[in-house]
Amino acid sequence: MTAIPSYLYYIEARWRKVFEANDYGKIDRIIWYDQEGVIVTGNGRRVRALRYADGLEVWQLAATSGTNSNEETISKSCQVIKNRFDPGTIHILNDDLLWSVSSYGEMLWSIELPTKPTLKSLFLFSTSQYVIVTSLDSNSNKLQVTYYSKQNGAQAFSSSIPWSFNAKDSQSKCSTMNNIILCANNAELSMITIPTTIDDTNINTRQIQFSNPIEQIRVLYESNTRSIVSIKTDNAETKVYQFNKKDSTNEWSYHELNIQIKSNAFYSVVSDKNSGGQQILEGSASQQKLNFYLSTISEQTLTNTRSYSIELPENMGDIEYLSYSNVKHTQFVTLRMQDASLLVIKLADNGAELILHRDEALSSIISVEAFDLSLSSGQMRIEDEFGGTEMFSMFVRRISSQISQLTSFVMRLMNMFTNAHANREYMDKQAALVRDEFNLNKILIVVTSVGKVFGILTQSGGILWKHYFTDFAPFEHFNTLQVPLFHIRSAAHYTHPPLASIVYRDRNSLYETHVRTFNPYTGDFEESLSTSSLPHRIKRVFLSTQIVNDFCKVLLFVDANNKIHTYPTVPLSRALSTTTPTYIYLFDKAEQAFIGYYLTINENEQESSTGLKEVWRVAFQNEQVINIYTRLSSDRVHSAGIVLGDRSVLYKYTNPNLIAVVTEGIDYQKVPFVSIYLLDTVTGSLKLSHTHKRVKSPVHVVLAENWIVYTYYNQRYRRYEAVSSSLFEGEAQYNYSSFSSFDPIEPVIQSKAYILPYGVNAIQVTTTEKGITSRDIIMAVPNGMLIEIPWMLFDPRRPFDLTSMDREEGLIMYTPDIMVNFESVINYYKQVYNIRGIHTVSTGLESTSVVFAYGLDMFFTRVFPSRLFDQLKDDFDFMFIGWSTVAFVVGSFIAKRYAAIHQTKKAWK
Amino acid sequence: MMFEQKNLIVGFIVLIVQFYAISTLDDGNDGFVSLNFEDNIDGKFSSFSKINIQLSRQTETELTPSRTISSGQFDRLVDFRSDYPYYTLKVHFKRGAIQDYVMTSIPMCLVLQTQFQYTVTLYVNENGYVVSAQTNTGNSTCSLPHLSEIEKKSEYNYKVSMRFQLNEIGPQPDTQRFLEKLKRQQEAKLNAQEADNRPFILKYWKYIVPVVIIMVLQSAFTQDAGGPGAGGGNGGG
Repeated sequence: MTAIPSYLYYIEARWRKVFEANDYGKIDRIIWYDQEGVIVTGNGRRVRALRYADGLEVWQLAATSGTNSNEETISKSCQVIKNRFDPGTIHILNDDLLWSVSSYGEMLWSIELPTKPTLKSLFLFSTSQYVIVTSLDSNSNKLQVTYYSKQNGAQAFSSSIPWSFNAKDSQSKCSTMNNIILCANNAELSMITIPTTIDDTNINTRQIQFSNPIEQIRVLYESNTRSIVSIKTDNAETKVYQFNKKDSTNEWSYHELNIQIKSNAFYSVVSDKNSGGQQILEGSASQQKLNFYLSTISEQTLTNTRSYSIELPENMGDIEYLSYSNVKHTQFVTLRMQDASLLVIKLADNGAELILHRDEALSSIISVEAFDLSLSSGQMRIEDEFGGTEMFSMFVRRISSQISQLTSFVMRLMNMFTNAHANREYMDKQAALVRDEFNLNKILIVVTSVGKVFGILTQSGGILWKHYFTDFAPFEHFNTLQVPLFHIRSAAHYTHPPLASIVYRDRNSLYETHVRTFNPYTGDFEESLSTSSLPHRIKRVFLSTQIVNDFCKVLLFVDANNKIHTYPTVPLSRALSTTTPTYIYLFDKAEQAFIGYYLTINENEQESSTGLKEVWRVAFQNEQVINIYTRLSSDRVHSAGIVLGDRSVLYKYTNPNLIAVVTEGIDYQKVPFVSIYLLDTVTGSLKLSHTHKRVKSPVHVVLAENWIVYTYYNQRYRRYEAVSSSLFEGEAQYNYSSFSSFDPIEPVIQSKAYILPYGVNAIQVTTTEKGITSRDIIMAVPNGMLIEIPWMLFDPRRPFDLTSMDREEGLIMYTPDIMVNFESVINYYKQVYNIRGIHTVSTGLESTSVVFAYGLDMFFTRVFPSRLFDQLKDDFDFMFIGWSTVAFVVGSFIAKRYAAIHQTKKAWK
Repeated sequence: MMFEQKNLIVGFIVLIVQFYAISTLDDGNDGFVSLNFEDNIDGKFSSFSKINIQLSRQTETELTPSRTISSGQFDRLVDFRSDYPYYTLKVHFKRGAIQDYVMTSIPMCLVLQTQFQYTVTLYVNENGYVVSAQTNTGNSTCSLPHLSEIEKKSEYNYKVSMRFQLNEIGPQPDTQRFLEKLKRQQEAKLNAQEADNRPFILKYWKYIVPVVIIMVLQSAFTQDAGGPGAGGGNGGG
């Protein structure tokens, strides 16, 4: 199946269509007609036609099948073919359903196939009269060939042949072409010809021998009379075969084409309308260069070979998909590269030209981190201005620093004038050099699941740098992909640039781990802090609490034997604090248990590795942990309590060691449930445990300060709900100066549930520098909106009946549903779809938090949860205040003069 | 005949209820769980109490210890200068065919300070399996000098009380109560309107009295001032 992402682009993105975020939006196949494309999605359950000109969905059909109830059992295989003799008819086969659709949107017929656990539908063929389904009967090891009438789907005939492959091998090692099944059986290629008429019952099997085992069979071209197939063997040799149908028989003859093959080459074959023959395009990537050879196939050799080559702007890895098309004498090559780049290259007489390059990798972001820009030298030296002890030295310091400030100001002005017409890229580069006044502009480092890392400037959204790691593979973390991304050195150390590290697995050997450290401003590698192979299998990675060498933190790895290692190697007593104990937790997937460890550090020990001692264990029997959530590292708690209406204080239970654990299970009455736990990672005790019955994931969780907000889908009422819980110590605080998980505090929990007006794709809470500003919840919803909802609306203390005390405290009366005001949609009409995560960062202004939402689309903005209380408004009347100041100064001078005259006159009297 | 039929139905219902009760007892939430408590005071885990108990929210029971801590052991623990100064409690549980264990730790010093008197909370999940344990001695700080002041005994007894904490059913949006409140408010409004069944005069006297006064005054003025007014008019002409 073509792995085009779930949307289509016209070459200049004139329109786009976003399909469903779930399985129904997953494209199985696209059949290209002249005016429209017919797209089969959702494992052959939905078919729709999009018009090329305007992206209009002309029609849509959904398979009507009774098997929706057991969705779990639907296997992910589906076959879609265009009828060879009637191109306007499309046949679709998924496991238990065969249906035919016409290209103008009519469902011709649909039949349910017999479902048996031993019977598996494999291949689909079409003739002018029949639709042929072959299915594997694993009981008798036979391939059943069933003929259905093309007109009405009635079963006409059935036969069976012996079959030596199992179901999995049949899917991975076999391909179909016209009415032939090609199967790789070690070093032998079997060709099984399926008869196309009932009269001919002779199933013909032939073999082609190869010297090496076959790795891959790829059908490059097929028509009613000719097919071209490439066969790759495991010694990286590729052979191309041409199959020709013998006239008036069902027989096919074949011969090998005489082609010099490159090991990593891709082929695309189209029929040449002028000559009636076929053209073959060979494409291969070497470093940053693409080479193409375009030839005409004549009998067994290639003629008219022309070669093209093009230098790519960056390293994009190998080719993953290549398609050649010849539209009105213009030759286009469309490629998808390993780094998910989409390329369109035009081949002309004067060479190849890159006409489109899109970084589709940006739709698969998995890790995000924001970096502050560094201070300018002027900003750094501001402290120096007031140093010195003697009068003279103080004077010299002050004058020299002010002169340097003046020169840098003049330089900046000059720069602004001389580069007034400079392009955005240049402006971005300039802006990326220094921090702005309120630290609003940041650099976002995003890591994508294909292994491409981008540095994005938030001010403009411009990409400052990008790098593709060819050996990249992400880690798995509770059914999601994850790449640990760390701040190794922050921007606070002037003269030392900040550093970021990513840790990933090797694409080929999954137990090999790579560490790459780079400067987030430029993407330049710090080779001394990068390694391609750590000598141990790692279970978990985290960052040291102490700064070690050159203001850098080090990475700590837990290996498979529960030993701690540091990278770069330093004694553990330097990497971790020796005064506060360190606890680590790991998750055992097989036993569904969290295990907590205590890390012993000996101050005199010079070793860089040490063992862990098990201190707690939390086991989830008959439950499956689906995800865990932690507090944001930037989460700040400004006040220890809430002042109530009667002026007493309700103290918050702000335990920094809590994590939220979400589990799924089925209870003894066979009712599905979702449980949410707050787990203390020092003692292994639970602070909150809620079970919701008849509730379905996805569960989204936000954990901050002393509260948790989570959302889920309620199957019983068919709606999305949110639950908000706050933990309090009570009217008295156990220890006002510090918190310990061993404190004997039983937190008081207050909870309320609310009905949400929309589904939820992702939620996050705003972060500010000191945590004084009130919190807002940012929620991404399926219809493309990002909604900012004040946490006050989720407050579990919202009372049913509002008393004067509650009013004094500023509580809002409880209503079961959360009303969303359309003014709180922070992206207005710039809809963003399939959002998978939201990242919030604090800025230099306490009132302002910045929000970055990513998924299929990306969106970045600033939000002000308590309005702009520390900044003048945009419409502030500077002219008025300026003129009135001037007027007052002038007025006071005039008044002074008049007063003097008056005084003089008075004295003369 | 009738009577017999009724009896039969009642018997049938009783049977169903009984069957239901048995079935809920069988695999229901209130089954028995066997627990085995171990701790690490000897450097390795060894059992100090076993119990077979019914899961219930109200359970709060004292564990009966199967062994005591000798003064020698106690003194050794006080002198414990190891890099692992934790008292670890390991709780093995078995319910039906499933058995597993949970663990928790607190600083050893806290347990010594209270002379092995603490409470254990076992968190139990929806299906009745123990998820996690927590020990609580009622204090979070201790100092070694304090420990030496503890009165010497020849042996120290465990005094451990245990309780279960069952998973709470998560909150639901309280639409029922909200709607009831709205209904109450509406009713209160209606009642306020209905209650006002005073006679028409009593209800609207505020509006009637000024109108009457104005009318009375007007009529009085027209009678009194009719002459001069008319006279003025004449004068003008």
